[in-house]
Amino acid sequence: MKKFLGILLAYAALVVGITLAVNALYVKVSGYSAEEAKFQSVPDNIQVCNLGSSHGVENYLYKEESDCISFNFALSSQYLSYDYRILQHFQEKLAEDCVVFVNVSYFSLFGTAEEEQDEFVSKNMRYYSFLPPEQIKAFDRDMSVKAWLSRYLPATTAGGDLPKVFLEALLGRGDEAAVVTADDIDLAAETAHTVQNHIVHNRRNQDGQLLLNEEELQALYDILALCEEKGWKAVLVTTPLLQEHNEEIARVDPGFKKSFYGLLEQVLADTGAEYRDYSSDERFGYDHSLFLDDDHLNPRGAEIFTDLLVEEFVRGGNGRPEPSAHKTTE
Amino acid sequence: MSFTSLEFFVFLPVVFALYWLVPHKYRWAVILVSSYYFYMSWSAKYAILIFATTFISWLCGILVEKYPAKKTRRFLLAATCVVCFGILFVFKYFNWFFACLDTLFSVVGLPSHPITLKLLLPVGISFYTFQTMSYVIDVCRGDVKAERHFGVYAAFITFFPQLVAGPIERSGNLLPQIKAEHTFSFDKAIYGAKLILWGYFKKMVVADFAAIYVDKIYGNLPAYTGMGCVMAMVLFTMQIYCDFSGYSDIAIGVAKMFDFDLMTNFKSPYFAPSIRDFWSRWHISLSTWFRDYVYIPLGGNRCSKARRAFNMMTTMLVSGLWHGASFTFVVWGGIHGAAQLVEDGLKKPLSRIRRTKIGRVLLTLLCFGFCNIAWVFFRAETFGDAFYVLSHCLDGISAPMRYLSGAWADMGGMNLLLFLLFSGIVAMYDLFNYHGDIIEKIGQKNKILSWVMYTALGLLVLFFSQKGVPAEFVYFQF
Repeated sequence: MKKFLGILLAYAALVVGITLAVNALYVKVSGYSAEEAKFQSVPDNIQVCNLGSSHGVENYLYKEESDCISFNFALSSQYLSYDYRILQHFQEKLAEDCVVFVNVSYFSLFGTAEEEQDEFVSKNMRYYSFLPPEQIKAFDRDMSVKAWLSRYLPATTAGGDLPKVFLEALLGRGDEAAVVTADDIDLAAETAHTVQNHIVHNRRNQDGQLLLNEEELQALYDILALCEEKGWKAVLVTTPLLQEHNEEIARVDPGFKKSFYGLLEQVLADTGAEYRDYSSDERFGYDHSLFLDDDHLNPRGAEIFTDLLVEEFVRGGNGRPEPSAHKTTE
Repeated sequence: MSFTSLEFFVFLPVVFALYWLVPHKYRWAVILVSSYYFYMSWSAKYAILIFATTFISWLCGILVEKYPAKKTRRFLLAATCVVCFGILFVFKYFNWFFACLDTLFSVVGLPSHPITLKLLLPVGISFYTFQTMSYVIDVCRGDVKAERHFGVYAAFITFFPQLVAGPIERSGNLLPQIKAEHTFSFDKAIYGAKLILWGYFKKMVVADFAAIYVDKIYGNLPAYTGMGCVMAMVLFTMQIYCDFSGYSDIAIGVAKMFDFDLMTNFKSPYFAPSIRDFWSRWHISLSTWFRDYVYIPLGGNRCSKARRAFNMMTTMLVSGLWHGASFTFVVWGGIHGAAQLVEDGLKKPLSRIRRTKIGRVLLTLLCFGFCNIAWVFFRAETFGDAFYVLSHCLDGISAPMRYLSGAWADMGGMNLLLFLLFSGIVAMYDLFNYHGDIIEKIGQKNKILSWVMYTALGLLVLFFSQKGVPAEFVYFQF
């Protein structure tokens, strides 16, 4: 019996040791960093913050030297319903007069429930590391194990990416030139793909009609209600898009923007919230050097954009920026 | 709790420690309590059903020996069958039976009043029902003596490694082991640990990986043609085998750690050169159950050709129905039965082909291909889905490169390569296991090779298993 238990322990130690080594190598080679790791160090007395999906992650960049305590609560592909849960969970971290930029992208209010989307399970895992179970959609105790592994031993949940990363490192493919502006990519293909995902895929019923996502719309109302209750300044924001993106939307679905703005106007009328629409802002829409692709700003563009918002709503600057008025018809 | 849940990794060491610490005469109690705990972690209220089935079958055994007259034995057997199979019928087939009746009434123009029961299918009901019935039949036949000790008998029925998905044990094998005095065997325990590792590899790396794509394709069939349909077929073939044989490996391996020998349930079935041989290698505990309690009592093959064909088809159709309350399962069983009849008819030419190596390889490939096709009826929820998959497999084959690239597009290049690699490992394992026991062979040959191999296996499970994704064992639904 002792020999058997000894062998089991030795085996477990060997496997765990190799796992830790492979994991360390994977993290080093892939540059892996969990995007949700930032929630382990949310500052107190946040004066300005933003929610949102990748539009929130990429398009907001607060100046480090600023005396304003800021935080970016956005995560890639995050839905408004999770924006609300995150805001609820971290509400004690926000200062009394906090300014909350609530990102409302074109896809935010349409489509089927998040739980029905592809990748829901893998995407949902990231919330296990910082939200309590009651705030996590379809909470599953077994998934919390995977979430823990994903955070601390990402090599064990990388699946097919694990050999891919090591192969690419061996073949030296990781040294490709980084994308700096939208001119570094095939913009036309990227735009077509993005618009398909945002406007068409999973946003329509079998007859091709746009589906209103009631849960997400309610989440938006809930966010605004929470902000009002806490005395925070909520500002709905649609972040800048390249003109090519707007043109593609008009081509794929000429009536789409009318639906979006019609819905948003109802929300604004119901809540009295402020709204800033930068989607067709000429200061951004024609300048490829400010974008990574058709709908995400690069760091330079994000800094300029964020500064505009902070200047208006936090610093209370004199020169109020003038985003172009949204068009309900194209 | 299942073999892949976190609770099991706490449960097993605790039960293992308790079992070996407790004096021999109380070990049946450790097995009994831990087995009921194992089952009740899934659903406490359905433990009543196992208890009822266990008690009724135990009582029947006692009464059969007390009143050995033929008429009394037959009555007791019939009564037990009615009760035990009746419970199975209510939970598994009631709704389906009355839905069929309702359809029949509608077709002939009679008024129908469909009756449905909202009942959850208790996990393992098909398995433990068959296990109890095999005991009762064996006692009635005089093949085994009735067990007087209810606790020991209950431990035999509910032995947790094989409780929910087999192997369906015979009382002649497992019951004496429950009563026997066990000494910890290092060799057996190590063998069991290795088998458990293979089981987890098959289940968590191969089966659960395949399940993702199988469910995706079957969940949206119209979006897939050509290679997509072929992938659905082949992936499910691997999924069902690795899922079920993986479970069996874990069950048998766990039992070995307690010094128990459960029956082998799978023996390289996809390397069988005939369907008849396939059924001597696939779910052996079930196929031998049907052979001993359905096929042979019907007359087996000691009768006319026509009668033999009838016996074969009946056995296979019932076997299909055992798997689930749906005609797709029945058709699956029927397809296998028909294939065996065809093999019977072509016995001489097939045995000539089988004598050559290339002939055996060709027949093995043919058999494997046949199984792939038959499994479509097993997996598809409707005949429409099954026929869709089969009829669209060759769509686009006139452009072979584009046809083949469908697999790459659907799964992603790296995932496809990984799946082929992992399936290849399973195939090699089965190939070496076909005539012998690869675990024993490797263990005897070279200790360093053994350590390297099992460390690599453990790492593959750790890195490539589908952790946290809900992936119940397929045979739990039976």
